[in-house]
Amino acid sequence: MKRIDGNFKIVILLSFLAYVLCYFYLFYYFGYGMGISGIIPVIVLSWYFGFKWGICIGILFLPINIMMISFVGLDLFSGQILSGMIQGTVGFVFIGGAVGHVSDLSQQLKEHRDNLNQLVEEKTADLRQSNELLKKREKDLGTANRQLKESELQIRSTMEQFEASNQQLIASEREVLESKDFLENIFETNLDGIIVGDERGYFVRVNRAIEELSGYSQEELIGKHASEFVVEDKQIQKVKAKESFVPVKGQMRNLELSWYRKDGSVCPLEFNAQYLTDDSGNVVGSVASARDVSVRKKAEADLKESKERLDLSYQATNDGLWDWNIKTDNCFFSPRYYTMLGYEPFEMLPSFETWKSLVYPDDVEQAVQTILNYIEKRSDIYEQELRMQTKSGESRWILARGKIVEWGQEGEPVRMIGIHMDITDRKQIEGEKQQLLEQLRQTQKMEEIGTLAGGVAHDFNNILGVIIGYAEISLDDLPEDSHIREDIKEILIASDRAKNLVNQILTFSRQADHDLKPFRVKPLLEEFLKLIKATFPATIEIRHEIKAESDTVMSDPTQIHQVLMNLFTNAKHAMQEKGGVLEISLTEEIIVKKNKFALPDLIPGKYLKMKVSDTGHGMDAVTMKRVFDPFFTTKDQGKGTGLGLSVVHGIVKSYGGEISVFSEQGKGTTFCVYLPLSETSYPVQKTMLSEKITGGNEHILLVDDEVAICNMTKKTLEKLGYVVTSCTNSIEALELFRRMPDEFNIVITDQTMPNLTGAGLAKELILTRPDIPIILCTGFSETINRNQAMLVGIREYITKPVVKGQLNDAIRKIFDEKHEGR
Amino acid sequence: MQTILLIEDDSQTRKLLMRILDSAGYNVLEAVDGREGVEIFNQNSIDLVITDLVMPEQEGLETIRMLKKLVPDMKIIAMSGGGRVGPENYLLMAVRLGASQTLKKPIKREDLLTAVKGVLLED
Repeated sequence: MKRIDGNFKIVILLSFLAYVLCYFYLFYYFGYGMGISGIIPVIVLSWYFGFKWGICIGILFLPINIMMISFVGLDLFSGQILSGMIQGTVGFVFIGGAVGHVSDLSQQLKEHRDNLNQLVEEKTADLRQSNELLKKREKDLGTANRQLKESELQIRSTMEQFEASNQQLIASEREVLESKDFLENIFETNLDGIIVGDERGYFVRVNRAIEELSGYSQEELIGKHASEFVVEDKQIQKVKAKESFVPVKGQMRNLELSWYRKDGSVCPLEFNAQYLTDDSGNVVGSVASARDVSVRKKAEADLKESKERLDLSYQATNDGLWDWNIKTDNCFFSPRYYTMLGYEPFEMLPSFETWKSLVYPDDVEQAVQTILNYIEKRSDIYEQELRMQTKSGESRWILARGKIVEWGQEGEPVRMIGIHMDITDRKQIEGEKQQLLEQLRQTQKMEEIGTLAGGVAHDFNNILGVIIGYAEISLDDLPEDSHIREDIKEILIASDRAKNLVNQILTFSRQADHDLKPFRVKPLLEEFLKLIKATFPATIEIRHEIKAESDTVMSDPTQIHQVLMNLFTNAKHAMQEKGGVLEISLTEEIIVKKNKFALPDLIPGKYLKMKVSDTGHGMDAVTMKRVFDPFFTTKDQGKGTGLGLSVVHGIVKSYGGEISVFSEQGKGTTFCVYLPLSETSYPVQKTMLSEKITGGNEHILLVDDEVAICNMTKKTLEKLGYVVTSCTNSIEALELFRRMPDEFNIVITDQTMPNLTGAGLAKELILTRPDIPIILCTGFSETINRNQAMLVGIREYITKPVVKGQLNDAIRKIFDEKHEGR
Repeated sequence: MQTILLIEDDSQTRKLLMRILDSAGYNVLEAVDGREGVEIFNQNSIDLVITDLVMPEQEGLETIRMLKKLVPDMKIIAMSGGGRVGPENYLLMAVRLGASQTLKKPIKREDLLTAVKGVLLED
């Protein structure tokens, strides 16, 4: 904006001119003094146009003034005006120049300033640029520096490697040198002899071991040939036959030969030889090694001997041996291992699986577990009893014992050896012992119960006796028609029940003491004979010999009855199919001294001997031994409890007597019963069977599944005057009863019967006819007791064996009660 | 009138038996144990001894043995409690020792009188 552009210049000039005109006007009207106003355009113009113009304009005003003055008519050359004009003009010029100069200066300053600024900017920009350039260069420099450093490192490492290789090279060189010595050393110090030979087998070099083995020195051996020293035998001749002692192309391994030493002795050697060839395959020599095997030979001989000894002992021992490699399952079973189970020796491949397959199926799991446990826990000895199956399928008890004998690197078990011992017999004996122990335990338990019961019974019975006694006495004192009699009778009934209850417990625990009376056996036996003749099948012939004079035994008649009943029933069963002869004898016998073998428990004295023989199927020795065992029976299930003979045995023993049995299978059996004879005698003896009993003539339905007993009881009842219909099948009996329920007055039934028990039958009968009296006969330890029977509706409850008197009493009781209007 | 010695330790039973025997016309002497029994036995003329067997200290058997020693053909009836107190068969022993008969408790009046009658009739 410094120098005005052209247009503006023109404007200014025109304005100046305008001013000038105005100036004229002003000058005209206001006078000369106005000339001073001309300073204004001078200042303005000089400011705008600068120094030069300022001067010019200032100067210009002089003419203007002159003009003006002239115009106005003033005197130009008047001193005042003239000085004024000159002053004015000078003034104008001066001011114009000054102002213009200042303006120029300021303009220049501005320009300079602008230039400077521009320069500064340019320079600053340049500087910035250079700065950046510099920075960039710096960076590049840095990068270049780093690269340089890396290269430096690489160079250094390469140099190190180089150094290392160098070292290795040096070391290798050294090693080579050492190897040579080393090999040399090996060659010489090797314990096996090494011979280096040429292509024909002549010795080139030998080591120290060869020198020692052969007794010759190196010098003596070089140039010699092996064949000069070898002891000839078949094998060597064979080799020799191949023309060259050194193998033709190849090797000779483990050739055993003997070698003559320098001192003439012979040394067994194991010889290996090999060709040496060069790169092209040409034979350049041979190498052989020779080993002194005299020690080994001896060891082999010893081993052979041991093995023979072992084989012999395998044969000699009765046990089977086994040898099992747990890791590889390689197994060895000795011949006896096989034969013990009925197999041929080595019939099966020995292995763990084979053993497993021989174990009895039920025992396999346990057996395998036991052996695995042993291996895992590494206990001391492996031992277990197990059953193994024989070839024929039977099982035998085997005792397996063994031990780990070899361990692996990490301490794991590798090999186990052991034996198998056949302990079947031992097991059997053990089994029997267990059985006996069990029986003993049972017996002891029973004894304990019995002791308790027995202890209580004594006092209890005392008390009961008192109750019964006074009840009876009271009855006496009451008039016949007193109603109190009924109440007293109830007391007696209840007391009776109490008595029976205690008796049952005592009987069950075999603590019952029986009343002993002097009892004559002969009459009872005679009655039995009559019954037997009547009820036994015709195929059985009955012979008897009753010779005893004294026949009184201190006993409980019920029990004697039991003894005879059991013996006769057994005899009958033995001869059921084919018939036979039953012999019965009764004699007196005096036992002089205690016989250890035959009848060990008999105290010397007088005895009544009763013999019952049959010609039935008999028993074998084994059965005979067990015949008195409780629950032992040869009969089929349901056909006999097996208690009969054991009860007989118990009874006889409790009287201080003895019973013996002799039997031959197929021929027959004989039982001998010894009972101590009693000195006491009674003037009057009533046998049970011939006791005067008032019978009745009612119709009895009798049910018992045992034919013999059913028949016998029927006969007995008929003898008493009753009419009896008997059934051996409880279901048939029920049907019969249902058909004519009012026909029968009383039912007598056994408890233990197949399909429908006595109690069950009773229930059914009562449904048909509620008031039918029923008598239930139960045996020893039957499954129903008195109370249960009463609940079912059974009127009377009798324990077997049923004695006539007892049975009749029961029957009478029922009917008498009936008649009394109960 | 015949004299019976009754040896029984249970007082109620003793009283009852005495009454029964008394009513039946016998002269009854009582003792509570074997010792007393033997004393009374020595002081009187006894026709029959009825004794309980299992009394404290097994006196029953001892008493029988003693009485038999004193009078070998003494008639004795032994009473039993019905059960065994030990493994021994006391009844059998009593009989071996010389008891003529045994009676099992609880005793029925009828049985007692029958037995007494029978034994007294014995020779």
